[in-house]
Amino acid sequence: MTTKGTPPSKGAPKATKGKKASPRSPAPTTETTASNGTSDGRRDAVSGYGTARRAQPFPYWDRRRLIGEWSVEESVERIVNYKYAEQHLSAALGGWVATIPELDVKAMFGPHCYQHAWHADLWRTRLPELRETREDRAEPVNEAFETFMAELTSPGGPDETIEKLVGVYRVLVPHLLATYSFHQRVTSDIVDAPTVRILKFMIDDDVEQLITGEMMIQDLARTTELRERAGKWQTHLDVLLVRSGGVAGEQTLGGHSAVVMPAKAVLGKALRDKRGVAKVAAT
Amino acid sequence: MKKFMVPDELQRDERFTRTAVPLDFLMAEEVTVEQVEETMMNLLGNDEVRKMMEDGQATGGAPNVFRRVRPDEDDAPVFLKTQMHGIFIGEMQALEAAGRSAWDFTDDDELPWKFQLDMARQCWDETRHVEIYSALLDHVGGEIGEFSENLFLFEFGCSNDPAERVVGVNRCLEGLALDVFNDTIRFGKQADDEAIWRSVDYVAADEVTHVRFGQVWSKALTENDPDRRKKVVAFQRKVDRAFSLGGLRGSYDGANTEQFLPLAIEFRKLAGFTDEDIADVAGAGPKVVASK
Repeated sequence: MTTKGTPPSKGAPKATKGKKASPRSPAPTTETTASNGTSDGRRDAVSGYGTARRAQPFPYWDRRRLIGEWSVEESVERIVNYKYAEQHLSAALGGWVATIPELDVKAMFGPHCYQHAWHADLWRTRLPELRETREDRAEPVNEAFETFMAELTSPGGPDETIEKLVGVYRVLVPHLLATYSFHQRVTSDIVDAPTVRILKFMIDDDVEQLITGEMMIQDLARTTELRERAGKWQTHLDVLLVRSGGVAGEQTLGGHSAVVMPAKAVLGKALRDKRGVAKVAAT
Repeated sequence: MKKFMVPDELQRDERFTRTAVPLDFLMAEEVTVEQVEETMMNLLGNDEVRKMMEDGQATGGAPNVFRRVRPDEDDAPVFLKTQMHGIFIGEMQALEAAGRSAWDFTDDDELPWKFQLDMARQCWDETRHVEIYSALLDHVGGEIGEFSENLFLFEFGCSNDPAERVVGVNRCLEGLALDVFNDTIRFGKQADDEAIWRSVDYVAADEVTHVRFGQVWSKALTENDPDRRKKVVAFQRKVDRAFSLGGLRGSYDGANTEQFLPLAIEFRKLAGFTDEDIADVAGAGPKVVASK
């Protein structure tokens, strides 16, 4: 509750005219857009209890960013690409169940079929929240990615279990894991918090899938012939994947570093000058 | 990967053997008691069970076919192994059918996304059921591959039309599963076997959801198309007849609880069946007559 006449909190962020963030320009961080309480860039320490506590809505340990890598429209396009991959992967896992003679692999694909459908559905629910009215949109980023997915889902024979496993657990799931982890790290965890939360669930599923899938591959492929087949198919798919740039095209991963760097070191004459100025100021 | 598999393409490891689908028997208007017994013996495909059933015939009705087996009877261990193995196989075919439903119709632009999501969810659920029944099979002393597999569930359940597919798999196959699980829960309680009735209770809850998927989707996909609806209902009657197992599946009102397999009225109603629907299922079987 605010009281008439209450002074504004010290260190409250001022509105700034930030330029539009894009993958080509470093995203400004909360550190640089908010007004700070002290001249050396640090905020005033918050203390107190009750009405005396002049806090921001963020506790002092909060390191989230206000502005992320992409605009709302750019986020939508990425999500539409992710959704395409998730939907197709889920369908393929379901279709493969009946084509696999190994009961343990058959039983592994069932839950993973649902997990990827659930991921696609989480993306579906996120789209209208980002002003995309067509929540059924699910599109490959380019023809090359469509070709990659068609090749990944092409093995259908009962002797092709190793190819099915490698395509999912050594190529696409690791790629999605890298992409989702990247997305989670570079989008704003304040304005785009719902996406960050969705990604947390997906990453959790994908890490588990990566581990169980790799265990299955190593357990199943115990001959040199099977390992060679696994390696060849992985390389074949990886080449197709790189031609597409990835699930979201060339911008799947990459951009400018946004690590907040300390000010340049002051040494030698510059340091003496700085100290001299400080000494004069003190006297 | 191609779309639309035929049952013979379902992949198994070397433990599994198969018996032929008794198409004529499952589709017959009228069957004899002998035909029912003979078909069931072939379907079960195990010497131990055949002997049990032959011995039973001599004493007034083969157990597991024309009368209920009680947990304290001598035949109970073999009966339960057969039952658990049969359900395990059924769950595997249901898993495969749900997975194929998630894959086979991805080019159908008119099919809403929610269809694939529901089928994927069922794929996960059926996997758990495969796991649960393989554990229960072990619990009752059975082994995977001990009995032959018959592909009639997949054969009849899997149509190339998504509306027929959900009717065949979700309404008819999963509906049969409800009847079987209701019976298994009762058997487990009679035997004071918590491992059986507590785990099957959860499976039955899942199956109610799957049957509901079937009810919802068959209606949604046909409500504006009377001709398609008519075709789907005809398909449904055909599958219900096949899954009546020659009329073995039981009574409409559940009054005759000594019958081999009474319908699970309560579960079916939870899944959206009306009294009329239940009467249809009860009346789907062939006429069973004494030997000619």
